[in-house]
Amino acid sequence: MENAIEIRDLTKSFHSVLTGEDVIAVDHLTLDIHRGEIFGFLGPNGAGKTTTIKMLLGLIFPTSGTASILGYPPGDIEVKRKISYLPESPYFYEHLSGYEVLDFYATLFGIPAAERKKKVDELLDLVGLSDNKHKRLRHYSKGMLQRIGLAQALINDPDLLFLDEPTSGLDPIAHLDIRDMILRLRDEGRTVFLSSHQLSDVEMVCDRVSILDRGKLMRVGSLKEMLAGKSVEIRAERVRDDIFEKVKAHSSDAFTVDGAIRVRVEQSFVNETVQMIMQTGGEITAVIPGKRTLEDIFIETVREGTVS
Amino acid sequence: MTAWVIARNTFGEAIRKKILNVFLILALGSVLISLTFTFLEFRQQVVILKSFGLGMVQFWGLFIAIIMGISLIPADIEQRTIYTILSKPVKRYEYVLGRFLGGAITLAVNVALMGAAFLLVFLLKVNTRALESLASLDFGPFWTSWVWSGEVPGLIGGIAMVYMKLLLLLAVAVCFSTFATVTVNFFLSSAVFIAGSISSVTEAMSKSPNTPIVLRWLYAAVHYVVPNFGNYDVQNPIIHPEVPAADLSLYMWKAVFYGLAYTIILLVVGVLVFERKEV
Repeated sequence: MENAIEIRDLTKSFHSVLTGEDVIAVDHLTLDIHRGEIFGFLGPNGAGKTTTIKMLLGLIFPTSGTASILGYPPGDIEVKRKISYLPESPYFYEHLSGYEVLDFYATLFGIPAAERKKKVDELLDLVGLSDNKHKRLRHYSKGMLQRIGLAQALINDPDLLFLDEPTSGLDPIAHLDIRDMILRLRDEGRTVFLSSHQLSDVEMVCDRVSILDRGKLMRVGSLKEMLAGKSVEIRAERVRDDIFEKVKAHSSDAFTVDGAIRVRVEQSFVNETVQMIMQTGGEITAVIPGKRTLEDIFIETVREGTVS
Repeated sequence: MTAWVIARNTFGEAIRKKILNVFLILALGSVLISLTFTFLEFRQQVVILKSFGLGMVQFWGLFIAIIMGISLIPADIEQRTIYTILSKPVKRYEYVLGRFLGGAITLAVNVALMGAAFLLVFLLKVNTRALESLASLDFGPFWTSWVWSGEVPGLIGGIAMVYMKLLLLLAVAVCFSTFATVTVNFFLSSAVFIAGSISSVTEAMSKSPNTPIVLRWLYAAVHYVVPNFGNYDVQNPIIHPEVPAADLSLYMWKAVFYGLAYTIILLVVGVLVFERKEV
């Protein structure tokens, strides 16, 4: 699969004047982001997420390592025409109105005046700010600023979007709108690099995720695979006591409810357990694959600090 | 083109800044105050008015140039507006140039407004008879007694020299703002302005046999490296046009080219620093 972003051994360290030591913010990060996917970039505060994004955008420079964005080096003027960025808690020129700020950004892309007007009006409509387009940004609420931020990130019809906490500070309706918009972007074939603490959002929209902690890549992979549990719950009735005891020995969790049993066994032991129960006159009432949440995985990864 | 888009936006931003507008209002007020110097003899009043007016344009212009220059780039970095600009197809040199040009236009508009107010006050002062005719509601003698003072072109030249001085100071502040914080830059730019305004003194000290050799080198370095803001102090021949002086217009053109050359050098240095700056 073709990659939108290729990161190889990317490292960024900052020199601390106070301690006189180098602090490593991003530590030999190697990562590929496929074209057309929504990629979740997760990590606790200070994990190095924003530092990585800033390196990819050419706002800061790596200490070592390389990165390629749509085949170009970071900061290349040609790649800047094809990407966009919504920073966390974005600030814009407050003296401008919503319309003027989008017009300003559109002008930076060299979009002709007539096309610019159409485009700006469309985007204001898309983010639900048409009624407030002549209001100065200093009078916008946080949610409105976030919407303008998303609109400016769409001004150039980008192939790749870097979204840093795009749903931060939004009310539930706006939250939902933006989540839908991100899904729509993927449907249009765009790549979205999404950095967020909103794990429920990430779980709903992302194809793949990575977890960064203290600058190191701890985990990366398909969200579906990550969320798939390794254990399965088996529910059965009329299970003989000796069979229950046998199953219990292989189970992480086993108990009885009104004469029925519920056991949680490893995936590899499912067939054997089911056969054993059925051959001894028991009846299987349910086989439920275990499922974990992204929050479970995130906490487990960060707490245990294991690289996988 | 991109630099021009940024310049236009910078101008729009600057003219809405309350602090700069306050300086402009204070400047206009100061110029008007000079109308009250009626206790002096008429000829003295005109001399004082020219000196005071040009001085006020420069004084308030200095505040506008330095306050604006030190904050143009750091404000964008501090408020993180720069992220959404430099992630667009904007080259770093275009950004620095755009911010400077926007500042230069703002400065030009402010100096033009202050200068226009000063010239208006000056013309009202030299047209006392015409004003008297207005006061008595006898409009007939108004136009016949109106004098278009021949000193006006000289005064416009003086205002242009003030603008060149302020533009140079703006370039110094913008150059320093690519690596210094706002507070450090304020003191740094002010120090450069003061050192550059006493360039004749530093030159004399660098040649004086009474100065220790190390200090002589230091004074020489300051004299040659720091732009000479004293070049633009042309008030005397303008205020006293009756005193014969060397070719003033030639001198002023030379000063303009000197200022532009220094401005370009400062901007090149600023751009080179900003190219490697992490934002």
